[in-house]
Amino acid sequence: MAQHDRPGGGTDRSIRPVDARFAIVGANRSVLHAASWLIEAGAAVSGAESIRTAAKAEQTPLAVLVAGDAVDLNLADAIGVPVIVLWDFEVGQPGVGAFASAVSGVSSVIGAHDGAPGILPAHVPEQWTGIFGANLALGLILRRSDPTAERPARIDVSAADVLRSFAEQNSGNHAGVPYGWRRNGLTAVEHGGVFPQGFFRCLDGHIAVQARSRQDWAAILNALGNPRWSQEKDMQNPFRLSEDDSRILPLFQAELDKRSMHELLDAAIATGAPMAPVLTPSEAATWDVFRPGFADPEGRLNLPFVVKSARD
Amino acid sequence: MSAALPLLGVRVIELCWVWSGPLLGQFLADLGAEVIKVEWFKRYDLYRTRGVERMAGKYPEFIRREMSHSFHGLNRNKIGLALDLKEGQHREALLDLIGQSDLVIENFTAGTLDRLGLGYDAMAKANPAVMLLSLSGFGDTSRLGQMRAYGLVLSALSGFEPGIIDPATGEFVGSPTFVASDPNAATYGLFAAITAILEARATGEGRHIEMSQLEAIAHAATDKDSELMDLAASLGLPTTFASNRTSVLRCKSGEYLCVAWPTGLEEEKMRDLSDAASAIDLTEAQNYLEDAGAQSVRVIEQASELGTGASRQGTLIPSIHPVTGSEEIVAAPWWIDGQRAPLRKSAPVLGEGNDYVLGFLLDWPPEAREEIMVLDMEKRHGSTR
Repeated sequence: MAQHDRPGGGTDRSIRPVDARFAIVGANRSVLHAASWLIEAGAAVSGAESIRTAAKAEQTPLAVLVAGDAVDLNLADAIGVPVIVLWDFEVGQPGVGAFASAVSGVSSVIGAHDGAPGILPAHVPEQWTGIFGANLALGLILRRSDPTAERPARIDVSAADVLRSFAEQNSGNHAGVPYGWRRNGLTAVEHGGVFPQGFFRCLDGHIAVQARSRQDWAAILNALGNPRWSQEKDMQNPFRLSEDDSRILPLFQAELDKRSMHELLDAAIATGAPMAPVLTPSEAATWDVFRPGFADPEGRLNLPFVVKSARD
Repeated sequence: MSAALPLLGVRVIELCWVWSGPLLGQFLADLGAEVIKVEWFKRYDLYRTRGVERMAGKYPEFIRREMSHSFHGLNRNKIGLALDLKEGQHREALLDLIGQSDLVIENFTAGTLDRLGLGYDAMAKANPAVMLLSLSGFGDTSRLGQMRAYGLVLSALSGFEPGIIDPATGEFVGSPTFVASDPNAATYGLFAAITAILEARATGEGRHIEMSQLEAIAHAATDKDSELMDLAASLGLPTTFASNRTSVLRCKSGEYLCVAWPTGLEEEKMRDLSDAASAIDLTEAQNYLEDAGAQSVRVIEQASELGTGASRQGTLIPSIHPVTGSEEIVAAPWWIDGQRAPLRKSAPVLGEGNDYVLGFLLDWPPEAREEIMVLDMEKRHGSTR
């Protein structure tokens, strides 16, 4: 069921349906995610056996979205209809989204410092690839009525390109920023320059804490009741603490060990401290952290958009 | 190739800082939209100094704020407009500009635009067809609305992080360095932005879309394979994925392989193959696994392969910035007719587009535009005294 047909729990989460038709050829995860997003947007989506079948359909689609690693890519068959090719791994190479994690640098920062590299969950690389595919398809609607507009013949999106793009930007590896990326267990290497950044044990689970400024660190200390050690000048500079956490870490951990996830979230809400418990999806659903109407009565998640009109 | 960009003719105003919001603006600009980024000389995007924090005091601020390659990457193809949104005439200018625009994107703290007199009601008065897309952390009706919405906090609360486990022990390890929430928000935001523009063009009416970044990463945290299988069946498409299971193993050489196992392979057989592959060197292991029907790739871990090496895959594109000169910036993750999104201009120097926006689009006289630049000059002198 598309978003525009689903109840939003009293909030308006509706997307006005677009007027466009797309065809899907092949069935890797990325192209099916793209199809799913196009359906969410209200587009008419149909499956086809081949690019040729799709392009020659009675109602010509605005674009054909293709599973790159599952289909014979003969663009001459498209007879002028743009083809959007989505790859679960790499342009021109079959594979899965986990491979994209492996070659992009993302895996290199997931895991224990002396352990094996990890991968992103929930086939997220393929999900992102699919959303880009849908977005690029929807973008074609904007200029279809312009007879002078050039139309692309072929668009490619791969999970590896998506993750490389995000990882390079995040790491600043290309940008003169010292490359600090490596596996470091539950915390970022040198806390990303400001103490703390990572996940820490607490009484009944884990808590994420991420400071970006002196104010953030002060709010975190406030949430922990400003323990006596925090009065020391050396303990008040989160930039210095990030360079050497050997003294602060056991003191900080001891405070967290005394508190439950609920207590820490309540303290974060009261003080504005940037910290929150690590919740499973089922816990997140019951902790009242989302806006009304995010999940429907059957527990399915709606899209993360609430829409409001201007007051007259 | 620029002529094929789908968002040509769309104007977007960006009121965004740091990563997720400017990344959304970058996507829109790379797709051809005219994105006008609004900052002020005394209050500019914090990413202007990302990576050059330690240059403070070594360069005048008006130079240092133009030196970040990260900022240059995220803000290429945008026009820079310097306005002080706390000042009445400047607010009016922004509303006039909104009168000529399709979409405003913002990631200020909840309530900031209203306090400035620039909430959606004011925008809609200036232009009933304008769309406002807010990338909020939690959403203004959330009980967490006043918490700091940093990426790690959002992904922890959303249910995303517990899915990231140590492949050897199965214990929670999370992703404290690659924070998925920010790029996820920009990716979801692009869907909201494009559908919003289409809606306004179709109906002539704007609306305010508030996206919760927390809900967006929670949405991504859900594995959707069974839904995809149902969808494929409904479209009459083949319904079996080549692989449902991946693992990471360490080869004799010490390098790691990420392996995608064929669907239906028994657990015991997979363990045997893993053990055998771990006892041999990487290339040999890959061949051995391939013979057994499994695909694999080497996990890349060296900075040299990920940075400069990434340019081999076209991840980096050359740019020339007016202050820092020749440099490489990160490409958008798509190819149109075999080309990366074209670089139409480098990231804006603060206030660089004032003459175009205030003079050409809004008909401000030269002396009024000059007044704004004088304020910057006064600040420069103040900062270098």
